[in-house]
Amino acid sequence: MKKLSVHELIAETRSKLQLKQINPEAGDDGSVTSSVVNIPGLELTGFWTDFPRHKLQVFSKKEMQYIATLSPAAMENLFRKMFAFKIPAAIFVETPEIQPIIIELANEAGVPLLQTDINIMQFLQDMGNYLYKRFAPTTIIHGGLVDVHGVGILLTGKSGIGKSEIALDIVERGHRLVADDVVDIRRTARNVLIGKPEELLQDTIEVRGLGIVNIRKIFGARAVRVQKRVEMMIELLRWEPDVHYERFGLTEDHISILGVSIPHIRLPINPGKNISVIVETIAMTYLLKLYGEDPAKEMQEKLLKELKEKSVNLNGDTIEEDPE
Amino acid sequence: MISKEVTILNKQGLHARPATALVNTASTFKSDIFISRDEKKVNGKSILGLLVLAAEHGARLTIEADGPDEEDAVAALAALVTDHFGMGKHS
Repeated sequence: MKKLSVHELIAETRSKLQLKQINPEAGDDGSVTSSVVNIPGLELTGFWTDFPRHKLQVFSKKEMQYIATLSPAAMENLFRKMFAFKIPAAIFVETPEIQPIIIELANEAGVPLLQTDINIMQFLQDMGNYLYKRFAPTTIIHGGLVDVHGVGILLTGKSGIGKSEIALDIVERGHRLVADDVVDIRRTARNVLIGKPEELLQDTIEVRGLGIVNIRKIFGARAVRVQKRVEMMIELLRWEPDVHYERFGLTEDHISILGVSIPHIRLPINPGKNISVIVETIAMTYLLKLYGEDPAKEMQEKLLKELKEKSVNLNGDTIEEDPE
Repeated sequence: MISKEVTILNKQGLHARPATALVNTASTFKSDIFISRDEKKVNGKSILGLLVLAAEHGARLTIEADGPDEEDAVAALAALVTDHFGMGKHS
């Protein structure tokens, strides 16, 4: 299970959530393991069944107004109970003063208390987005990721087939490199995959016979991207005479990465073939399909129409429609 | 598919030179080779992949091979790691 420390949470959301820890003495290495937050409601009234203890507990102005109506003993009882669950942290959003007893009990139990002055609705939205992405499922793919005419293409294939050399050629033609050899992929929404390089490998390609090359230094900032949505996968294969490759383009193969299905094109390569031009063409065909144009389908329809007309002329009457 | 766990013995960890030695050995086998550390799993024939593991002295790695020569591959790679990647016991 993924873990996130309170320290990391504060650092990574600084620009948006502006969280501050009001009791540094409680420590900040507690771990968040859930991608959603909880706003305690019935718990405040004493109903603790199925309390989501692993979630960050958020208090807005409303909850604090209710808590202020409690007697000192009831308030102490409430927070003693909540902190005994070892919650990862309590966050006070846009609330006025926090009662000293709460801070005292949190220090005793070692629960970090965080505070921010941003609007509660904004907070919930930004925090939700952040946690969703932070806890998104990830995987590593051995291959390259390039942005060709705005389409994020994963280049995969066996070691030594020439993925990096093709990525280099694609960059030379004015496109952008995201990652070479190791692509970190994260599912940031139900059907969205985002690919990134490993930090150590940012901007680099390994070319056999040459070694490590820094793309940004050679081609400039326009040649790289820090991340890109992964829209399709092109698998480079050594040409084998008796293997069947797609010839028409009517059927589309798909591959599932982290449960997201993307087009999967198997591209045979052989000497003298300009792979970069083919990759560019694949990208543009993909864009055309997004706009509703499909050359293979259009040709098939045109052909079927012509065949139908011809058979009418020959027989002098119409033939039965193919049930297909 | 077979796998074996090994420990990095070189003082400087798995840096560029040992990683090169590992990739060169891995590339002599037909099998697909993966090296993993915790949840991070990379291709054993990719030098950049190995660097990403950032395996320091004492790090535990799992060598995995899948293919016709998987047993020889795992044995050879494990021997290489145990042998300090041929760089001498004090490296």
